[in-house]
Amino acid sequence: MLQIECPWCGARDQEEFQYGGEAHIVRPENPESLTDTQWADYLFNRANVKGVHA
Amino acid sequence: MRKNRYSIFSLARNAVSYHQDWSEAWRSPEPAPSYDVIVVGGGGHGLATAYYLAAEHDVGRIAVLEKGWIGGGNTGRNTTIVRSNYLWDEAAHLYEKSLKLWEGLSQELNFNVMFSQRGVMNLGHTLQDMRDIYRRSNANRLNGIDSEILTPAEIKAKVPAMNVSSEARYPVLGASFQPRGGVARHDAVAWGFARAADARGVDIIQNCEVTGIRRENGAVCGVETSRGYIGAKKVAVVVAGHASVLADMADLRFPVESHPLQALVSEPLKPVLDTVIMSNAVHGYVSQSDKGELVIGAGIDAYTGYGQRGSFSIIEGNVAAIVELFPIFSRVRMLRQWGGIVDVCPDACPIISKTPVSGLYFNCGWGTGGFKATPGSGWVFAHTVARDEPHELNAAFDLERFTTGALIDEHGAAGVAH
Repeated sequence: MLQIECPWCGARDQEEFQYGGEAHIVRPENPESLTDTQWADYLFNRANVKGVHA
Repeated sequence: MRKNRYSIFSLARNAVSYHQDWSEAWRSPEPAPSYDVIVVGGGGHGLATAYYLAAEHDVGRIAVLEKGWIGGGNTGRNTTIVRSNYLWDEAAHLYEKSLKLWEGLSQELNFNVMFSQRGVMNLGHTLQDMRDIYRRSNANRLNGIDSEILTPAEIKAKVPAMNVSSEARYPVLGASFQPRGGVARHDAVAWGFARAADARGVDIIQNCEVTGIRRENGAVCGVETSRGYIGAKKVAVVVAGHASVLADMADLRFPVESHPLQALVSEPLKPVLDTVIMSNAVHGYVSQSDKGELVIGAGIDAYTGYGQRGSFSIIEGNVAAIVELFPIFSRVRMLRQWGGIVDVCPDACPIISKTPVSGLYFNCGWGTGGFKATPGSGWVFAHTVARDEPHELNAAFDLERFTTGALIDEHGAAGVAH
């Protein structure tokens, strides 16, 4: 387990520095106005790109 | 057409000519301009789908398109475990269908898939583990799926190498055991389905990468590939970790994320384990192959990636758990490590479904548990594609469940940390 020095917390496990999945997913402003399909798209669907993640 | 049937007689006959005259197990045809059904993905699931389409349905000309070599993806990278001990009725029945197909598969395909029903044990290390084990075991038995509960003493009798001491950090408190579960040879199931499908006229086209899905008026009409455009009335996509890449070609979004899943094998050892042991809590699963290697697997790497490799920290944690459970393995050398790309679903259950595009079907989201389902997945997917309607066994696994909320949570039964 590689230890990486965080300037705030000190030495932390490498796993804490891993990418956590798709970023920049914005919670809808008015969930009540969405259809079930739109809400499901926000909750579950992901781009899952093969390549560089944002 | 049954060319070159394997038997003791064919073995003897070929021995006389020094085994130089065996005919090819499958052809390498040039792609035709069009087919009735194109199966995208030449792994175990795709080849099984093509076989059952040819053997049990009347759909016309079938091709399997594989971007690399058949069985080179997750089919060639798993830890070969076969079982059907899932919690919910829908999942239990689907995996049990697959297990029943495994039981007759070598005979049906005339190819030795080496299905060894040596049993699968799921260990419990805490009170809650045991409560979950009892619940799942009882659910299995209510569904006619074989399941027993073992005490530490009974586990020790079956697996002398295991440390069942109450002094362990996470002591073994008991286990569920499915006697009919076991392991199978992963390459063999791909090759067996390939040979049997080819014998029924399926064109298996390797080194052919699908780069686009062509549609007209909301219906599929063919695929762009690295070997040219191929027309199709129906396209059945079953590409595991690349599901989102293919979905994107049809402007679809799926609830899957692709993660590395690693596995490793040890140097060959004399027989020391004759069953499959899995532990959710300390996290690892192990069996011993016929070559004598310990085949070990663990949880996914947490980051999303298609690299077919993961980080060493996962291996470190995994092997620590294995050595804690089996102290005698502490000096065994590990021989080889690799990874696959698993498309995990929010409920750890697959998607075997029609899509909003007419004639386009997807079979994905098996995540960490696809190998055991190889024949069953192909069987229900063939039905779904041929009849343009899911079979009763896969009706619950449609894309719509993420909208309706009818998720089927099998994270516990999946046995692999997500």
